[in-house]
Amino acid sequence: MTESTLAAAGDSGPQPAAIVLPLLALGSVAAFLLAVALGPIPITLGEILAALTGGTVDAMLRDIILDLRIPRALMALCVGAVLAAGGTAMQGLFRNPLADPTLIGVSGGAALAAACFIVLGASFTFIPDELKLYAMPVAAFLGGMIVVLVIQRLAQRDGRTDIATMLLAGIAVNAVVMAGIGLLTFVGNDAQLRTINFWMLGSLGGSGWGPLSAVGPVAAAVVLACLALARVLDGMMLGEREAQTLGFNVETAKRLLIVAVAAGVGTAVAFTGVIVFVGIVAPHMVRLAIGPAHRPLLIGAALLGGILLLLADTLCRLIVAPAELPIGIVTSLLGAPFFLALLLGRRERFL
Amino acid sequence: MIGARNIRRRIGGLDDISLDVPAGACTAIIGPNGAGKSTLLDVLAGRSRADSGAIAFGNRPIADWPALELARLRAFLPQSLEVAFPIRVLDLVMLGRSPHHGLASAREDRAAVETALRLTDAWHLRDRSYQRISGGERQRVQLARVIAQIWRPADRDGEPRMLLLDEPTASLDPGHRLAVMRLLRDLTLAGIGVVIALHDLNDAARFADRVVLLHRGRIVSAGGPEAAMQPEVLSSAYGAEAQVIRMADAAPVIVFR
Repeated sequence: MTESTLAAAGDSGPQPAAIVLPLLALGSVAAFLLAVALGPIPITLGEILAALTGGTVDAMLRDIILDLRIPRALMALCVGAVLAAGGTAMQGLFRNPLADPTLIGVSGGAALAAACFIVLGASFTFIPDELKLYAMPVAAFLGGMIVVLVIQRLAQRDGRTDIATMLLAGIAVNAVVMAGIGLLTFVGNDAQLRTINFWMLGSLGGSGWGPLSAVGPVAAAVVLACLALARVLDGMMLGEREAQTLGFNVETAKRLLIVAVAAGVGTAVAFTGVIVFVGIVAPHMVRLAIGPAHRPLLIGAALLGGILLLLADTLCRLIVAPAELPIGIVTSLLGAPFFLALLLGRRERFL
Repeated sequence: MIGARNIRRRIGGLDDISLDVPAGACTAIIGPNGAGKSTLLDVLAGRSRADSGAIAFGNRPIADWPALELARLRAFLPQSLEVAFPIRVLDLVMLGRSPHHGLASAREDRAAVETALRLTDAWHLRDRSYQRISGGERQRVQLARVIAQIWRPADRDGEPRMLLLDEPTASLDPGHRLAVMRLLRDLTLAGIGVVIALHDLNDAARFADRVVLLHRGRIVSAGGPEAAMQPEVLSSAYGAEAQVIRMADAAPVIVFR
């Protein structure tokens, strides 16, 4: 048997995935170069190459390229990939094209923990100052994981995770989390409120080699974990019980997927704040183009997620340069109409 | 092939069911709505656990089978045929080959899928979107999926296989309904055991080797079609007066009044 059960079925010409995936890979490289080149200070392709290969280039430009733009662009690729792969996995798990990682509470939990830290952080005197930079991401990550585990716990019945209950429990717990954030914004002063607001809208402004060294490996591991479970997700299209009847260990797969997505999205959100819409849009668009087989779908969605986030971040840096727009505004503002156009234009395919 | 001993299950209401379904024969489970037909099929397939009692598949308790090994020998066609995302018919049937991943060659998988789709008269639908074909066509495509799941080349030996189907003809036109029933009978000739929940008693009388009549979670009668479907037991189970019209050289016809 070949790599993917679904892809093996092709008997009518080349699979769309064989065309779309290489295109997306090329697209990521192009978007990456574009993101490094564009900014308040424009940089040419030659200068990028020179900086990378140790050629002669202005020292300030070299610093901008190597220490600001490249880590930030890589961060966008990783975060976009992990959000999109996480969205793909959640859509497959919940058997619902509208599912995304926020459903399992990871973003909400992370946001609540971050808001806690922003408003009450000054009183956390036990944390040494030099660790404070990383204390907030760690708090956000832990907050996300805790909320996911609570929701999963609530959805346990006789040792099984009931997906429908999990959906409803997620909605309820997210409401509580949002109330908590609301309370913190009420208590907080103006500056804290602004910080919370910015965090809730997401930004890649805090990127650098440090955060990237945390997000990069986690993102890679999570995408690989989802890929390893791609065949179970294929089986899940028929329903949980049918997947079980086909011999898949659905319970283990569900737990692994939830933990992997929570860890991946939790890490991403911890450093960048909440970035909406990429997790829903990217899988959806790729599924329209190449069909529902999860192995190519996960790869394509991860690539497209990276591209979308790179382009959105580049816009954020350009529109109000030298200031920066929160990226969540751009992903929603551009993503939503595009998504709607896609829905209306291809309505018959959603039947 | 599948043996059930003193099965009880509170959810679905099975009450002390003992039953043997052999390979190479067609067993029809009939009974009124809510009699427990689907639950019994689920339990026999190892999809639901019984509260008490024992189920054996072959010579092992069904719970002792590794899931993948069992999946290559027994397939189940549910009533609900929803698929989460738009998918091509060919890809959907290929999903049935999942348990053979790493064991069967790509060519063998394709042969299984093509054979199954041709058997169910759905090969012409192979490139259509599953979401855009009719209910009856979906039923035939899903039937092809479960046949592909337990398909193996004719020249290869192996343990007996079982196909369990929950009302597979519910939304088929008369022509396709008869074609599917004939197909199931042909599968029994190939050594596959077929267990089928049916509403159409005439199909049961005509195509089943054995009929099991369920009523309120209990087996009311079981045996050959004529023996199991006596007018009195049918009348009391279905709450309508049943007449069994014997034919000279064909299966009896059952009419309710």
